[in-house]
Order: sequence, then C-alpha cells, then structure tokens
Amino acid sequence: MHKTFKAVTTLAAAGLLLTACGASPNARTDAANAEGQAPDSLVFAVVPTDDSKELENSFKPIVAAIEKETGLPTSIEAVSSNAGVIEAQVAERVDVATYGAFSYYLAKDVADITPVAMDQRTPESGSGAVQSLGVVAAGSDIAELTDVKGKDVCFTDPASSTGYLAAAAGLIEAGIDPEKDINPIFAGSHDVAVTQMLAGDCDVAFVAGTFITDLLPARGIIKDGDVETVWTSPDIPGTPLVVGNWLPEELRTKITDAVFKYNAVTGAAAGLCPDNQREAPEAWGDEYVGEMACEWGGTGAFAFEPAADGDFESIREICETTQSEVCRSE
Amino acid sequence: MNSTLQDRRSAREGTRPSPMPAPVARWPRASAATLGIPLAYLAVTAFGTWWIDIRPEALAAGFGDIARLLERMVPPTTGPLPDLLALALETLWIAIAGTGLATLASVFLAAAASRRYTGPRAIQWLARTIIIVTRAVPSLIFAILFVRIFGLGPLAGGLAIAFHSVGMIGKMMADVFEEQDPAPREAIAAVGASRTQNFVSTTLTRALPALASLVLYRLDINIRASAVLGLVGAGGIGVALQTAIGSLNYQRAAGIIAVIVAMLLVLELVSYLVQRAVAEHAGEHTQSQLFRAGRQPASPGWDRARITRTAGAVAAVALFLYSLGQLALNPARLGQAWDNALALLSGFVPPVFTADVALGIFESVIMALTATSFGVAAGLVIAVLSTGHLVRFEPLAVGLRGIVVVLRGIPDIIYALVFVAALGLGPFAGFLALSLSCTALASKFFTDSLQNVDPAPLRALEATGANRLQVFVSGVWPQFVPSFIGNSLFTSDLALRESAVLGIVGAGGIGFLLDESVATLHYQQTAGILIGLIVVVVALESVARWARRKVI
Repeated sequence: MHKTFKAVTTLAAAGLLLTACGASPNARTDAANAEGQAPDSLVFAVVPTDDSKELENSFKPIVAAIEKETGLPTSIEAVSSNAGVIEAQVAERVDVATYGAFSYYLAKDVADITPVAMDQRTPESGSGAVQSLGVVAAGSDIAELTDVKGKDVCFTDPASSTGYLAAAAGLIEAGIDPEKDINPIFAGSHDVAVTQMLAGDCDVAFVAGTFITDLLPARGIIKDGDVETVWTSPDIPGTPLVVGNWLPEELRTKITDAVFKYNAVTGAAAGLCPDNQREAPEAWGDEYVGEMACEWGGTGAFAFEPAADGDFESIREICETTQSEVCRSE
Repeated sequence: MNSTLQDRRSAREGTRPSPMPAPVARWPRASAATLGIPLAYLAVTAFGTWWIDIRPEALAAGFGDIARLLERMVPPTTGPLPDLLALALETLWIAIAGTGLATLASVFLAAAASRRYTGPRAIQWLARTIIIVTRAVPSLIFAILFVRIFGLGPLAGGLAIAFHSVGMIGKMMADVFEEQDPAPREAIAAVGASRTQNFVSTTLTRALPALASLVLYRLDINIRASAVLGLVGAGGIGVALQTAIGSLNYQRAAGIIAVIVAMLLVLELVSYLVQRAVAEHAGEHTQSQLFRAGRQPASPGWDRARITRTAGAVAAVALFLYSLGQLALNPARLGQAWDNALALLSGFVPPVFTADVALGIFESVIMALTATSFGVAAGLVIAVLSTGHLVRFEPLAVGLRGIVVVLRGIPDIIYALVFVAALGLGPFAGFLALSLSCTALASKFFTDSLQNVDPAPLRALEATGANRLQVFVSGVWPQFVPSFIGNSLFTSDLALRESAVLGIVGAGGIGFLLDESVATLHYQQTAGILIGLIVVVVALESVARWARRKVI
C-alpha cells in the first residue's frame, strides 16, 4: 500500500507542479469580442466534407497564409458537426470557417457571416462545383430518372445536398414524389449507400460524384463497370469559406487577401507546407506538371476563388423545389 | 449495482465485519485501493484541469449566448406526432432486441469469464477477451460491419447494439457471479451435480435479481444510444434527431428529445417496480419463505408475489420475441454476406498506429478521467440527496430522479452545442459536455447502490441512538465504498466511449479520429484506433479488478 501511495502522491505532485507552471497547450487568450475591435487571435474552424482527408493538416498551409498576412496567431479547429461550427459562429466565437454549401445556407439565417471564397479543384474557375450522381448496378433495368418510381432508393442522409436534396429536387422535376413514390432508405454515408446498392438492398443510390469517380475506385471498393450512372445533378456549389462580419473591415480584407494570394503550387513554393507536399495532379494541366503542391484544404483544391452569397443561390432553389423539412431551420 | 449482490451476499453470509462501533473506537485501516484510486483520480484531474484550461469565469461570461441558443429550442415541435411515435417504437424494438440478444450471450460468457469458472482455462480467457473487445469497440464499427453482412435495416442496427452491450452486461454479470457466496455451489457440487446443473441451480438463480436491474439499465443506455446513432438505414428516431440537429431545427430536436425522455421515464418506472419486486425476492432466504407450500409439501405453490414475478418474466420474454420479429432477417442476403464481410475486414489489416492516434487516445483518456472526477462528485451529491439516508424529503428525491433521467435523455451533442455557444470551440466545452453525461451516469449508479445497502446494520445503529449522519458515516458509507470505487471506474470506461462528443466541439480526442477514419474509408487507421481503445479498456479493467480484490 505504501508503494502505491507514494507513487500516486508523486503523480499528484507532478500534476500540481505542471499546473502551477507553464501555460496549457489548450490555453488561449481571450479574443476581444467588442464590436469592430481587432481581436488578438483568430479561430479557423473546418468541418469534414464528403471527401476530406487529414482535415487539420490539409488546412495548415491556408492558415499559415492567414497568419502571415494578418500577423495574428490562428488556431485550426477540426469539428465533426456542422451545427457545432455554426453555433460557435452565432456566438461570434469562430472567425473563419469552411463547410458544405448547404451548411452555409443554414448558417446565413442565424449567424452574421459572409462567404468570401470557394474552392476550385483545378485552375479553371468554377471547378469546385460538385454533382450528385444516381447510380445503379450494371445491368439494372433502370436507365433514367423516371424509372426510379416505385423502387427502393438509397440516399446518404436527409441533410446532405449531394446525398439527398439535389436528388430529391431532380426526382420532383421528373414528376416523382421523393417521399411517396419511392421507398427511401438512408444509409448514413455515401460509401455505404453505394456498396449496399450493389449488394441489393436498394435499386438505385444517389451519392456525391467524387465517390463514384475517385474515392471508391481508388480504394478498390468498386471496379470499372460495376456501376452505371443514370443521372447527374446540375452543379452544386463547392465549399465556401466564410468570414464573420463582426471582424473589423480591414482584418476581413486581410484574411480574404491571404486566401487568394497563393494557390497550392505557389503556396508550396512560398514554404507554407514544408512537410506535406505532393506532386501536382494531372487535372491541373500541363502548366503545373512536375511541380510540387500543398494539400490545399480538405478537398485537395488548387486554389480558392472569390465568391459571394449569389454563388450559393442553387441551394436555395433546391430547397424551394423540394420544400424539404431540413431547409426550414427556424 | 455491484453493491447489490455484495450486500445481499453479506446479508446471507453475515461474515462482513460489523460496522457497529467497537468498544474501543479505532479507524479501520484503509486499503491501498480506497486511498490510491481516489488520489490517482485527483492527480489526473489536477493535470486535466491544467490541460483543458478550465476557467469558470469564461463560462459565466457566456451565459447570454447560452440563453439565446436555448431560446431557439423552444417551443418544442414534433411534426406529425403519430409518425414520431412510430419512429420511437422502431427504436424501442431495436433496443429491446439488441439488449435481449446481448443478455442471452452474456449469461454464457459471464459464466465462463468469472473467477469461479472451473472449466478449461482457454475458454475462460476466450470469454474474457470477447467481453473486453466488444466493450472497447464502438457500436458504429459493429454497425458498418453488420450492414455489409445483413444489409441496411434494423437487423444490422440491433446486432450492433447487441454486440456492444455484451461487453458491459457480460462484465457486470461476471462480477455478480464472483461476488456470490460459494457455499451453495460447493454443497451442490458435493452431491455430484454437473457443472451445468450446478450453475443453473445455484449461480444463475441467485443472480437473477441483479441481472434484472442490470439488463434494464443497459436497455436505458441502448435506447439513448440508438436514438443518437441513427444506425445505418435502421430508421428509428435517431435519423430524425440527427437530421433535426444537422439542419439546425432545434425546436424539432427538442420535441424528439422530449419523446426519448418520456420513453426513459417509463423505463425508469418499470425499473423501479422491478427492483422493488426482486429486492423482496432477494431478502427471502429459503425456499419455504420464497414459495408458499403447494399441494405436495415438496412442490412450491403459488402466491401473489410469485404470480407477479412469473407474469413479469413471461411478459419480458414475449416482448423480446416480438422485437426479434421486427428485425426483419432476410435469409437470401446471407449467401453473399461472408465475402462482403471478409472483404471489409481485410481492409483493416495491417492496422496503422500513428502519433495522431496516440495523442487522440491521450486526450480522450485525460478528458474522460477528469470529467469522471467531476461527474462522480456531482453524482454522489445527487445520489445522497435522492436516497433517504441523510435527507428524507420524498419530493426532493423524486424530483432529482426525474432530473437525472432528463439529463441522461438529452444527447451529448446538445450539451456540446450549448457550451460551444458559451465558450467557443475547444476542449473546455467538450469537457463540460462530457462531465454532464458522467454526472448522469454516476448518479444513476450511486443511487442504485445506496438504495440497496443492507438495512440491518443501519437499524442496529439507529437502535443505539445514532443520528442520521452517524448512521450514514459508519453504517452506509463502509458498505457503499466498494461499489463507489467500482462504479467510478466503470463511469470512466463509459466516458471514454462517450468522448466522441469531443469531436463535435473541436476538442479532438479519439472519437473524432475514429469518425474521420471511417468516413474517409481509412480502415487501417480505424483498426489502429480500435487497438488503442482496447489497450486502454484493458488497463482500466485491470485496475478495477485489482481494486475489487482489495476492497471486496
């Protein structure tokens, strides 16, 4: 008993000693919350999107650019729930954030924010847009959207724009009620929707396009010819980067400038990502062949391009078409 | 819960040293566990307080933001009520089926895992391994596995719940078996009964009352869990809740939570009635007291208590069988199941264990233990106030029990959002959310334990003229300590799994990494995280076992 007692007392003393000296790795200075006053640090929150990987690391170069331009220490918070980030924005405790376009649609009603940029997957403008695809198993008798009537349909979840809302709008336009004319099954995630469609749990699956074109083939989960695409949605805007309006105008401009100042390639050249570089992908064109690039945000984008509220209009249109429960937040 | 049997055993045996003051008053020598474990918690808490950077004044400054968020949650709306109730019922069936299946499996596993098991060592270790692994692996992982095997639907969800529950029910059941008085077992063995006969006639029958409350408690946890998970095409109220929160429709979320809380309140009432019924049962010592004589002197007759017990058991079994029917097994799907499952599992090897994973586990453990300390302290106060040992004011007790059920019924994500509004993203908000759920868990455990202390020594103390405080200190507390320590450790164990909530507020931890690795299909990393979780759970379990040996 004495041994244990001593060991524990030592531990306790060590704990107290640590407590007494040195700041916690989680300590933070209080941001000046007064309206219009410049804070002495920034918080950048990121939410996983459909195909994000190593979320925190991939945003480090962008945060480094913001720190460089604004001179303010900036912390990255990787958060698993969009509601978490939006509520922190409502309370004006997150200064910069990226999340899906639908989250922005929800957030703008409750939080005082402006979208300033959106991601761009290739040097081409507008390449950040994503699509929702309707896919069936090879050999299915479903050839177009109208054939879906009366079938079992796999979706991701009711609050996903690529995994449900865009498809629901498409179905309505094709004269099919997505609640009554089909049997909807919510699989919880894009990959499960596809694998379970292939396993026969449903006849057709609606998921984010990147899963069909890149992610699942790359992971060996689907092979060429396993699935056929029967429907492609209109473009859904890519990932917005939003800034809180409570920050002073000058600081907001600095943040925006920092985001546009570099792209994945020039960022790498400027030393924003010394430890985490990759070769520029083919899709970026001949100009960048063989160049080293940063992991530029969760979606591995090429750069950010200017954006404004109007760029996310299509989400509002989808919501108007579907009159979906999830679109009416308050 | 642990204490229940413990106390009953001591009531039967009468071997526990009497807590009555000896003629020469002398403090009993405290064991290493009773001193060491609380001190260890204090040490971790001191470190955790520093690590998390706990600053109460920051919380006070955020009250306005909390109020504004809560305003957006009222009035609760439910949408079409029949639809919502149908979803709630679906959740209930999945939870009952899962809990029932887990109970069946646990009886065998716990029998083999218990220290009293006399069969082959290999089987004992196998059973112990299954119990620990199923406890460490979150139901999310079981869900993605079973979806591949059985397809989207309630079956995958029910089985995920069943597998994960085996860990807790099996462990606690084994504890119950171990705490039993060995005399009846030895007597039956001496007359030549086989191991199975012996187990059924002595161990299992005596454990039934404790098992009943254990299973009901796990059912409570499972309703809450399936409501939050919204498992894999299984439907139920979970999808509705997640959708409501994901679309910031907090009024709807509040309506759904009200339905969940109502279900938990009904279950709490059932649990209270069952506990009362079986507590009477446990108080009886012999067959002749338990069963009135039948027509033949040797055959037991029926009285009201026995009819109630039997009817209750029949109803429980009927409910379980009906819920199994709701799982909708599709045999045609099983043909291709193995290939799918094997393909998925082969993606888990080789496990990848990175520095990020190690840091995540460290963060989760620190936060879980610190939150446990706060939760245990708050839970103890609530438990003492809601049992009649110190304060006998019935409305207070009933009110507190209700509050605890409401606390348990509100999902962690709501707490997380509230604290994020007040404090911003980061560990402090996550820690507070975790502390609240630890408080709810610990106060439930402690209330049950305090309720079930052996009343005989207390009556004796009262007879000597001791006041309530004296009775509590020298009569109740010594009986309560073993279960206090055991349940505190178990609360940490649960808190570690609840620490997924930390990801919601950007506090990192293992839950976020696990979700991320599953969502991005990095299953090798998932496997690494699972191994880390298993190591931590085994470590906690070893401490708990050591402590039990010391104090029991």
